[in-house]
Amino acid sequence: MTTLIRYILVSLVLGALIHIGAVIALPNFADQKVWNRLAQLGDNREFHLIGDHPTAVRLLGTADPAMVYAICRFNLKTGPVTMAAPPSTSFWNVTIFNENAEMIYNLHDGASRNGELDLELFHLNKKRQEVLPTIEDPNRLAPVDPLTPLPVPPPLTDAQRADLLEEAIERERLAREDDPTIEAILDVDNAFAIYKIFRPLSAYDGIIIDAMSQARCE
Amino acid sequence: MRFALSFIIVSLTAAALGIGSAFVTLERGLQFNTVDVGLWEAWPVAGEPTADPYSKALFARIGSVWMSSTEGLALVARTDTEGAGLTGQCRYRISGVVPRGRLWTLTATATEPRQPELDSYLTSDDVIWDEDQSLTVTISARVFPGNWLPVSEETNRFELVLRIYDTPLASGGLDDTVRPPVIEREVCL
Repeated sequence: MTTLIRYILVSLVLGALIHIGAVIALPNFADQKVWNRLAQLGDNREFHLIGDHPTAVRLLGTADPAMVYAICRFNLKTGPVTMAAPPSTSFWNVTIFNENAEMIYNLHDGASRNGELDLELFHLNKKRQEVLPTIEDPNRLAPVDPLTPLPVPPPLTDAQRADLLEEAIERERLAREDDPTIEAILDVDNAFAIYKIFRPLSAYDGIIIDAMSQARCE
Repeated sequence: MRFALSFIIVSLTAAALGIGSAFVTLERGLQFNTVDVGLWEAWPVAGEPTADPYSKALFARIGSVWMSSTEGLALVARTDTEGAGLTGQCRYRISGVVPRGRLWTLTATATEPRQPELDSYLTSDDVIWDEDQSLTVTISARVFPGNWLPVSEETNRFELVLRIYDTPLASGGLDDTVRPPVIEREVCL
């Protein structure tokens, strides 16, 4: 009798472990993966316009019929991705998903200049190599004598502080105007972008198709 | 020999229990991290790398992308105020205030049978508001004056999806003070 109880207990504990393992492992083995379905769209690093709502639903599982979709699949390891598109209707957004269709980055038209899409995505490791200063580069790393104390700046008056702040804001504004590209660093290899444009009425179809056909993802 | 036999039996039972329970849990749908807001349900944390393993597994199994909190909030309603499933054979009136956001879309999604080509929608851009900033929408198979969201009489079951884009509600703030519109059944055919 005790043997039977022991068997039951061991089965239950093992079963619980298998349950947890199965749930956690499932996303990696699901054959229904959105990522796989998107392969049928065609080449990577290209926006594919999804012609109608039923197609969007078939590809993505759920879709908003009030939006027109374009999808771009890419691998960030093979280089940064640039996305660009002209302004279109009153609302658009770009959402980046990893291979398991989990959202990792989102950009609204409100964050861009003049409603243009201008986004550059980098791989975390690549970007890190690029920005880290090397010791050999004398311009990036000034020699510091560890024995000399660093100079302490004099305290600022409120007026000076306000001026500095204003200067910094102005500098930021000019920099934005100069280079409006939004940069994002992602820690993922395979990813896909969904570019959605709001379609308030069918009268906007021309503008939307125009923007979509000019949209770049490379 | 006896040990080997019991080992096999225990392993098989454990596997059946573990995989069976995982399957049943996922088959029943999203029970975890569901936020009930009146008649509507929302899953604000689904669709992100930080989501719980059950939501992740479920979305992977049905192979679907979901609106994440930085994108906005999707609310889903499947029943009317009396708890009956929404059907194309009845006329419904949705009334109330839509939670704040930059833009919202209201979709009637035919689920039984699933026919995406029948999905109809209204958006914040093309509705007529009542004087007190609230909204009244009629859902019916026949044309109706005012804000009308068409459904097909052939549709046995549909669900309403209210997608609110760019809303502070999605990242916290989804509590009792948020009262999305109510769905009342008026007449049936």
